[in-house]
Amino acid sequence: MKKLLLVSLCFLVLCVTQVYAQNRTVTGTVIAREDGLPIPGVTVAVTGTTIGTQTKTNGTFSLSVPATAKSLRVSFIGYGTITTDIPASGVVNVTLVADSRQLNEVVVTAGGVSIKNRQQGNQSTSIKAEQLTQGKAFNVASALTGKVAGLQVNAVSSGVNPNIRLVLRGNRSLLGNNQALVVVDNVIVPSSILGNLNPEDIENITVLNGAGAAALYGSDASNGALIITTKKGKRGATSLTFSNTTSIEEVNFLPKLQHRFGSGTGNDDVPSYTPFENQQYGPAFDGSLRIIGKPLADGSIQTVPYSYSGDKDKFWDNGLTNQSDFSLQSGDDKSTSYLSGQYFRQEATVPGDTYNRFSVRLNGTRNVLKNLTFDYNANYIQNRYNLSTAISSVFDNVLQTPGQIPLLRYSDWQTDPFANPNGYYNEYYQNPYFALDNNRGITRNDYLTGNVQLKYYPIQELSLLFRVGISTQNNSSKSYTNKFTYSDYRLKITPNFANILGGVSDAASYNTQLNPEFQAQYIKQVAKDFNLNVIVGSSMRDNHYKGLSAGISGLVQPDLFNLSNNLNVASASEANYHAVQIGAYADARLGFRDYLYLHVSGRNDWRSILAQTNRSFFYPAADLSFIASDALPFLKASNVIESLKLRLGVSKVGQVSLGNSSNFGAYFLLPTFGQGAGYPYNGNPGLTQGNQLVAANINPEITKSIETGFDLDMFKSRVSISATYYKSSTTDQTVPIGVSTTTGFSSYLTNTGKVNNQGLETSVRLTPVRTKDLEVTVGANYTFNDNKVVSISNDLKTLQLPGGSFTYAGVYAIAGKSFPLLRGTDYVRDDQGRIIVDAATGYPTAGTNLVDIGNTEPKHRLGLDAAVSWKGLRLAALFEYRGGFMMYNSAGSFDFSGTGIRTTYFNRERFVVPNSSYLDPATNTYVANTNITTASGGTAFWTEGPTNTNVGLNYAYSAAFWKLRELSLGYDLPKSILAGAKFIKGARVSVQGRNLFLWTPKTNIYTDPEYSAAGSDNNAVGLSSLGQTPPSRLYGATISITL
Amino acid sequence: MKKILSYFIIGALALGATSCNKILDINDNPNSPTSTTPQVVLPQAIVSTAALANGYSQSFGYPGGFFANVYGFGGYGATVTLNYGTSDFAGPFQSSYDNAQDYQYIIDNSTDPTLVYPNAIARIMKSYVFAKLVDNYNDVPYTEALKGIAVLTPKYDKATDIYKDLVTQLNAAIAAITAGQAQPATSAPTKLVGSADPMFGADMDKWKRFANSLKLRLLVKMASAPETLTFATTEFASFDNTLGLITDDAVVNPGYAKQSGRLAPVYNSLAADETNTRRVTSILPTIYVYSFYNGTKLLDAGRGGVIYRSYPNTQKNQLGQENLASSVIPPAGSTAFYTGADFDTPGLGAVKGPAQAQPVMLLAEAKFVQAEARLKGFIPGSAQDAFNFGITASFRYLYKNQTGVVDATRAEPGVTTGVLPDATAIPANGTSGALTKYRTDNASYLVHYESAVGAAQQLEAIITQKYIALNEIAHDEAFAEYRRTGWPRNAPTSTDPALNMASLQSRATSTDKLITRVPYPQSEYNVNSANVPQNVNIFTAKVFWDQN
Repeated sequence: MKKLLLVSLCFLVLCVTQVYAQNRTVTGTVIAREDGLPIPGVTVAVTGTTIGTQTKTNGTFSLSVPATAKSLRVSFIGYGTITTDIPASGVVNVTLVADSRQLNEVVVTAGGVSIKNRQQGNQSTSIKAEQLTQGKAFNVASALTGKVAGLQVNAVSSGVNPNIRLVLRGNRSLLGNNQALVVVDNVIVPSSILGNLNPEDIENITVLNGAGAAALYGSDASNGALIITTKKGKRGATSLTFSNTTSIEEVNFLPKLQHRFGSGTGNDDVPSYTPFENQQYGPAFDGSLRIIGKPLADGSIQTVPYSYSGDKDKFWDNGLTNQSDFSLQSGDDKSTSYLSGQYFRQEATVPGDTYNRFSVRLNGTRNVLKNLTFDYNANYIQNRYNLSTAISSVFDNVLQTPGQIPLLRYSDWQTDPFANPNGYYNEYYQNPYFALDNNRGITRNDYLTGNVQLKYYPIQELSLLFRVGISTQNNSSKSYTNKFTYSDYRLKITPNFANILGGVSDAASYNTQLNPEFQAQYIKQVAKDFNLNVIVGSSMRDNHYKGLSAGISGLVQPDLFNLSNNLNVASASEANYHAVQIGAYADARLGFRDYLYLHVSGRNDWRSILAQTNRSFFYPAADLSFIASDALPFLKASNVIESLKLRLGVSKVGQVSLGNSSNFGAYFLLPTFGQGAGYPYNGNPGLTQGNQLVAANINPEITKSIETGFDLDMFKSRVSISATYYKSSTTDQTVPIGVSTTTGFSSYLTNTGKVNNQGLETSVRLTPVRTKDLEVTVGANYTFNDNKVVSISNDLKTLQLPGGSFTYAGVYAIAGKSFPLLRGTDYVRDDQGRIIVDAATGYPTAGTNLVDIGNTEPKHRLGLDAAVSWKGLRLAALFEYRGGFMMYNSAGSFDFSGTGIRTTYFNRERFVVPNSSYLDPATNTYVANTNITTASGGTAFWTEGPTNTNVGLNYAYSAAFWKLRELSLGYDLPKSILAGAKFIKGARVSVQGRNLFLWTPKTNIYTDPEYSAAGSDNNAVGLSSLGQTPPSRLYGATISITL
Repeated sequence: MKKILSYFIIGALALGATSCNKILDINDNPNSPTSTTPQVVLPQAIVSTAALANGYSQSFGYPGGFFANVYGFGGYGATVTLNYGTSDFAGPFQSSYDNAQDYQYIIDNSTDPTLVYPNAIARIMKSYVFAKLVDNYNDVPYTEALKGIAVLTPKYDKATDIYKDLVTQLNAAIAAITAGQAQPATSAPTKLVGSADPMFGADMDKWKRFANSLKLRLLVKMASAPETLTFATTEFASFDNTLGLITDDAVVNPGYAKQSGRLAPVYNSLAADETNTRRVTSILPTIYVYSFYNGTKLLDAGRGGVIYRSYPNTQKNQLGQENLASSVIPPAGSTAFYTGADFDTPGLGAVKGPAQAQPVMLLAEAKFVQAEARLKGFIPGSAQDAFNFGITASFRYLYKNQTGVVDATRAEPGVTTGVLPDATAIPANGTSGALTKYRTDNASYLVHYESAVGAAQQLEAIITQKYIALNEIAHDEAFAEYRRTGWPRNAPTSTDPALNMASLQSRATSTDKLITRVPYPQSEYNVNSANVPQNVNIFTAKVFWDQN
C-alpha cells in the first residue's frame, strides 16, 4: 500500500536529471526489505553530483557514471537513503528499508499533493485499508467510527444504508454545514457517496481535522476534509482478488416496555379490561384467558392468556447481508490499471425490506510521453431500495401493542381472518404486517463519479495539471399505498376505519457537479538549505439539480401503481437549482534544512448564490512544522526519542451557509411567493407570501482558528503520542432564526452570532510486543470538545434550530451556553426546586417556559483499539465511549398508550410526586409534600399533558454510551497450505462483528444515542423519536482469495 | 521560470475577474416568483381567511358544547378534561398571523391611489382576523405585529386598544371606498376583476356593508365592557344605519371542488375528503345542542333534518361520558353532520358538499347582532324584526344547496306552500313560512321574542337563536357570545345532559366547568417569551368583553 503511494508520488515529483555522461555503466536492482519486491521509481544518483536515474518497473536501473564516481546514493521517499560504493563489477543491488518513522510517511493532502508527514503543520490522520476494512463495514463512514481523534461519526438513523453524520472539531456553524468535506480522488463528492463507495476500493483515507485544505478545495473544506484515495494498479504485478462476506444483523437495543398491564382505558382505581383497546391501562396480567378484539362477522373471537407474550420484542427479523467483491490490478512500464466490482445485498431487520448495491471502478494511469501523464478514475454505483414507507408508524404501533397480544401470529394477513384488516383486533391501528406490505417505496440511485487528469512537465521543476471531475446522481423513486376496501361489517363496528383508497407518488431527479481545475506546481531546491513547493491554481464548481415529482391519491384498480390509475387530479411539482463557484488560489511550502517547514495559502472565492457585492471573499492560512528531533542536537542524539514534531497552524475560512446538497443555497436571497389556499382555481391565481424573512445582505460565515500540537515517536516507534489543541471562532453565522409568528413570518435568515470551539485531540499508540511472529498494539484516541455560543444577535438571545423541535423540547443555541443545547418544559417548581402539586389533587402542572437540559454533542469521546498479530492470525477490537451529553425522545405517545415503563414506576397506584411541595394556605408558603397522593396513578396522570406528557424533561436522559464497535479475527492461510494450488497467491478468512454491544445508563429507556430525528445534515442533534427503528449489531464471516 | 508562473497567476485571476460576473449572475429563481401584485395576493388571502374561519369553528366544537366523544375511542385527554395545554390552540393563532400577513402585504403595497379597493378590502379582512384573535386570546401583538424584520419580538397590545383600532380601520376603509366611488372616471381607482374577490365578486358596496356589519359586532361586544363602553357609545352615535348590514350571507367560494386541497373547508372538516374518506369519525353532537332540535328544549325538524344525519334519531352523547353503548358511533359510511345521500351526492344543511361556499359571516348572525344592538337601544329599529329576520335567514342558509341556491324542492320544511324567500325578498319583519312553522311548533320565548319578559329573556332569546344558527358554522363565535352574555342557558350542576354544556370529566375550576379563554401557543413561549403573558389560567382569565 505505502509503496503504491510512493510510486505515484514519484511521478508527481519526478525530480530526476537525465544524464548523458559515460565512461562506465552501473546496473542493479532495488528491492524492498519488507516484501522483497522490486521498487520502481527509486532515485539512483552518483553521490555529490546531479547525475542520476530512476529504477524501472521491475526495479532495475542502468546508469552511466563518470570514471571518478565512487559511490551511489539510492533514495526513495518513505525509505531510508542508502549510500553504497560502486564495486568493480558495476552491479549494485540495494535493499531499501522502509523508514519506520512516521515523520517520513507520505500523506496525500489537499489537491492530491503528496507530501511527507514532516512537512505538515496541521493535524491529520491516515487510515489505511487494513484498518478500514477489518470490521467489514459496508459503509465507509461507519468504518471510520472511533478510529480518528477528533472525528465524530454518527449513524443518525437505522435501517439499510443509514445516514451518517461526520463532524470534525465540533459544531462551528449554528445552522450551516458542519460536516467534513469528502473528496474522492480529488473530486469533491456529496457525502452520500460515502454510503455507497466500496470500502474495498480504498487505499487510504487522510482525515484533515482543520481547515487547512480550504485553500485547495474551497470553503466547503472549512469543516475539515476526508481525502480518500482509491487503489491503483501496481507496475509489474498483476493480481486478482475475490472475496465474500456474509453477515447477520440483529436488533441489539429495544425501548424498555412495561410487562405488567394489558388493555384498558379506565382512569379509575380499579382498571377495567377492554378487549379491543390499544391503551394499556387495564388490569394487571393474571394469566387468565381473555378475549381480544371484537367478534368477526361470523361471531368468532380470539381468546389469549392474559399475560405478557413478548411478541412485540420479537417482531424484528434477523437481517442478512452478503457482499461479493473482485478486484484486478495490473501495470507495466507505461500504465497501470485497477478494476473492481462489488455486489452487496441486504435483507433488513424490518420484515420484507431489501437493499442492494452494485459498483464497478476503473482507475488507471498512463505515461503518454515522458513528461506527460494521463490519469483516470471512474466509479459507477447503483443502489436499489425496496422498503416499506410505513416503518416509523409500524415501529410505533408495534411498541404500543398491548402485551397480551400474540403479535407474531398476524403475519399472514391475506388468509388468516384475525390478521386480515377486517378482523384485526386493534381498533385504531393497522396490523403492522399489513402496513408494511401495503405501503412500499422503491428507490433507484445511480451514481457516476470520476475524473480525468493530464499532467505535463514542461521543465523539470514545473508541472501543469488540468483535471475535470464529475459527480452525478440520478434518482428515481416510486412509493405507493395499495387500495384496501374494508368489509361493511368492519366499518360498522369500527367507526374510525375508512377504506384505504391507495395512492402513488413518483419522482425523478438528477444532481450533477462538474469540477474543472487548473493547477501549476513548482518545486525547486532554491538554495542549499531551502526548498520551495508552490502551487497556483483555479477551479470551478458547477452544480445543477432538477427534480420532478407527481402524485395521485385514489387508485382505480388495486395492485396497479401507475400515475394514470387515478381517481383524482394528479399533483405535480418541479424544482431547479443551479449554482457556480469559482476559486483562485496559491499555496506555497518553504522548507529549511528538512526540519522547518512553512506553509502559506490563500484563496479567493466567487459564489453565484450571494449578492454581487458580497460574493467575492478571500481567506488565508498558514502553518509551521518544526522537527525538533532533527534540529536540536540533544534530541537527535537521544536514544529514547525517535522523532518529535511541533506544529502550529492558523487559518481563516469563509463558508456560505445556505441551502443543502440539492439546492446549493441558490435563490435564497429574495423571499418568495407561492400559490396558496388551493389556488389556482379555475384558471385564477392566488399567491401567498412565504414565511421566511431574509436579511438584505447575506455574507459568508467566517471561522478563524488556531491549532498547535506535537507528534512524538519514542522507543523505535514502540510508543507514539500525538496531541493537538485547537480553538476556533465563527462569526457572522447565517441563520434562519425561528421568530414569533406574530411577525407575520416564522423564520428570519440573517448573519448573526458567534460560536467558539476549543478542544483537544490526542492519541497514543503502543506496541508492547514486537517479535518476528507476534505483534501486539494498543491505541487510544481521546477527543475533548467544548463550545460556546458567544452571542446570537442583539434582538435574540435564543435561537431554535430549524428541524430541531418537538412541542415540549427542542434544540437551541443560547448566548453563553454550549451548543447545541437541549431545552424542554418542566413542571412548575417552587423556589427550592420542588415540583408544586395541587393540595387537593396531588397533581403537578407542566410549565410553559423551557429550561436548559444540557448539550447534545458529546464533550468526551474515547476510542480504544487493540490488535494482536501472531503469524497469520490477527485479532482486533475497537471500543468507543462518548459522554457528557443529553438527549430527548418524543415518547409522549409511549405514556399515552401506557406501553412505556415509566407508567409503572409507581405500580399504577396513587403516589406522592417525588420532591414535591404544595402551597399551604395558612402560611402562604410551599411546604414539602409527604402525603398528598395523586388523585390517580393511571390514565388521568400518565396520559395527560399537564401532569405528564407535556413535560419535556420527563423524556430527557443522559446520552452517554460505550460501544464495542468492531471485533475481528482474521487468518492469512500460510503458503504451505496453499502450496498445492500454485496459482493462489494468498488466502484469508476472517470473522468479524460490528456494534456488537451497546451499554447505556439506566435512564436511557429509548434508543441508540447516536440517532438524530433531524437527519444527518441538520445540526439539531439530540432528538430522537419512536419512529426510528431499533439499532442492530452485525456479525459475519469473510473469505478472500488472491490469484 | 518566474515568468511562466506569473502567467498562470494572471491567467487564474483573469478567469476570476473577467468572466466571473457573467458566469455568476445566475441566481434568478426559476421555481417561485419573488414579486407580485396586491391583486394576485388578495384572492388567496380571502380564501385563507375562509379556511381560518372554519379552523376557528372546528377548534371550538368541543369546548363550545357542540361536539361529544363516541364509543370505541379512548384517550380523549384534554378534549374531555378541558385541561388544555399550550399546543392545543396553536393552529388558529399561527394561521391568523400568517393570513393577516398577506393582508399586511396588500396594505403596504397598495398605497397608490389606484389601489384603494384592494387596500380597503385588506384592511377590513385584517380587522376580521384580529377580531377573532382577540375574542379567543385577548391581548395579542397588534401594533408591532406583521412588521417582519423591523420587529422580531412584537409586544402584546391590550385587547381593548386593538378592538378600538379595528373599528377605526373599518371606518377608514368604508370612507376610502366611498371616496373612491365618488372619484370621476378619469381618476377612479382600478376596479377589481370578479375573480380577484372570491367573497363579493368585486362589489364594493357589499364590502362596505360587510365592514359595517363587522363594526356593529365589535361595538356590541365593546358595549359589554365598562372600559370600552364610552368608545362604543360614541361610535354607535355615528353608526351608518343607511348603509346598513350585509344583505346576504357573506361567503367565500373561489371554485371549491372535490379535489385535493380545493375542498370546501367545512365539508373537508365535517364530511369527507376528496377520496370520500370520511372525517370526524370520533365526533357526535352533544345532547345539549341536539335538544334545540329534537323537542327536548325546542323542536326544529326543519333545521335539524338538514343538519344532522338520521334526525331525529342521530346518535349523540354528553362530552366526557365514556361509559357508552357500542351503538353510540357515527352513522356507517358517513358522519353525523352530513346529510347528503352519500359523499357523491351533495345535500343541504351546514355541510352541503365539497363545492359549497365557506361562510365568513352569516346574514343570520348580522341580524342577531342588530337585534341585540336594537334591544339595548344602541341603534334604532325593532329588535323583534331583526330577531325574526335572523331565524328566517338561518333557515334560508341551511336550505341553500352547495351552489348557493335555495333548494326549491325542500324549501320550508313542513310548509307545503311557498318557498324560502331570496335574501332581498325577506320582508323587513323577517317573516317566512319556515318561521311560522317554527313558531307553531314551539311555545318558548326563545322562539317567540314577543313572549320574552324583560331585557334578560329577550337577550337570551337572541343569543340562543344565534347559538343555534351558528351550530356547525361558527362554533367559536357562538362560544364567545356564550362567554360574553351567559346564554344559551347552561346548568353546570344539572345531571341532565340536555341542560349541561360542560364535559362530565371537566377539570375546569370555573363555576360553569368551561374554559374562559384558550392558552397562548407554546411557540410564543419559545421565541417571544419576554412579551407573551405568563401563567395564563384558562379557567379564570377572561377576554375583555367577558364580564361574567
